[in-house]
Amino acid sequence: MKQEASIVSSITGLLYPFIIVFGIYVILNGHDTPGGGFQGGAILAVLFIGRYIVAHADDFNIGRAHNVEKALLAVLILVPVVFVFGSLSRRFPQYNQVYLVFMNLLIGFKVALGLTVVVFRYAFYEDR
Amino acid sequence: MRQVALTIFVVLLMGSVLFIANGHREILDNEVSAYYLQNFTSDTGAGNAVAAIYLNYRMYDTIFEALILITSIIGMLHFFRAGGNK
Amino acid sequence: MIEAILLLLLILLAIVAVETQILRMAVVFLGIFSLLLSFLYLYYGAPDVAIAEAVMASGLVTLLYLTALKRYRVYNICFTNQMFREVDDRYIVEGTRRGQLLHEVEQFCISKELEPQVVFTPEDLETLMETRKYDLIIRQEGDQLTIYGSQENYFVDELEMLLILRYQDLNTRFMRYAEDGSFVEES
Repeated sequence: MKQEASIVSSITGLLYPFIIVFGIYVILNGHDTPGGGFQGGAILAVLFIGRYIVAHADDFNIGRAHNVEKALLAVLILVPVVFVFGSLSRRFPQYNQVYLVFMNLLIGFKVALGLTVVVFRYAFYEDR
Repeated sequence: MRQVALTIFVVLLMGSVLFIANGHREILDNEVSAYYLQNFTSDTGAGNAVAAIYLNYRMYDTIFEALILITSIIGMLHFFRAGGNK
Repeated sequence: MIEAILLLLLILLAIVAVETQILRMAVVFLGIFSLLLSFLYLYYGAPDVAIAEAVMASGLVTLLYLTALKRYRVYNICFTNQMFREVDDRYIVEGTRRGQLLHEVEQFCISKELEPQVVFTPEDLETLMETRKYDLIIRQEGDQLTIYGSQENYFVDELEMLLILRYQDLNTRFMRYAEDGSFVEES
């Protein structure tokens, strides 16, 4: 696995944009169609991990990803506390869809970063 | 001998559980699910009932699920600190 | 109909994954299992769960298992015997001194954080050397035990020291082979 397999790496390079588009599509349409933050986030995480496996891209900063994930969790707790539990969703029903899409985006990025950190940390950096 | 007896016991237990559970159709909280399925679009503005439930009706579930994920990651980073780049 | 076929295939794949000798193949069978399970979820009308299952279980978990297997390396030991067309576990395990030797090799592998995987086969040495599937080949001809190991593997040296110290009464000798398959004479 040290040297790259050229067929696999070029095909995966071709697939990256489709994986990104599919993941973001699943996240953004989560409130209307099957899918949602968790599933789309897992698809995006597969993108990061596949990038490491195929191209040995070593530039993923685990510490920064973890910090971003913590910040996302703070927003993730704050937004529904204000919007749903503060009964703003009853008072302003026109913002319901915006809220759903925003929450799906937050959950998606958080799950993507979390799974990537888990897999990178557990599988790839432990043997150093 | 003991292993054979254990195997027979487990198979019998499994068969009886499957036999009993086969004809069992239980739907918990009938009124709640009917209410959700009728009113989720007007309540939350979502087109997908699953999204309406996990982002509005059952918001606590989602929040604490995110907390579980980040707690496991923090624990893993803590215990695997030796070696690797943080 | 589709449901019944999928469910039966799931049971079959689960049994195959448990019973497979080679761990890597078991992981692949588990991946196929999760993929079929996601089809089944789709059939039952739960596309959300199906997407999650397909991505997580058959993508990420398979990947994690494979990398974990790569870290926790498997050491393939092959025990071959020319005398018997059918070698089975009973012959080697039944309390003989050679069974102890094999056990010792396995214990040594475990102490080195390798997972020993022993295969018993009546094939002859040439075919085994050609396939290169095994890290260590133990060959028995009558009373003579010969252990073949790669020349580059420092692990074989330690094993040789250990076995020579403990098993002097057994007629054991070590052979090394180079990368191209030719044997290296012991000095």
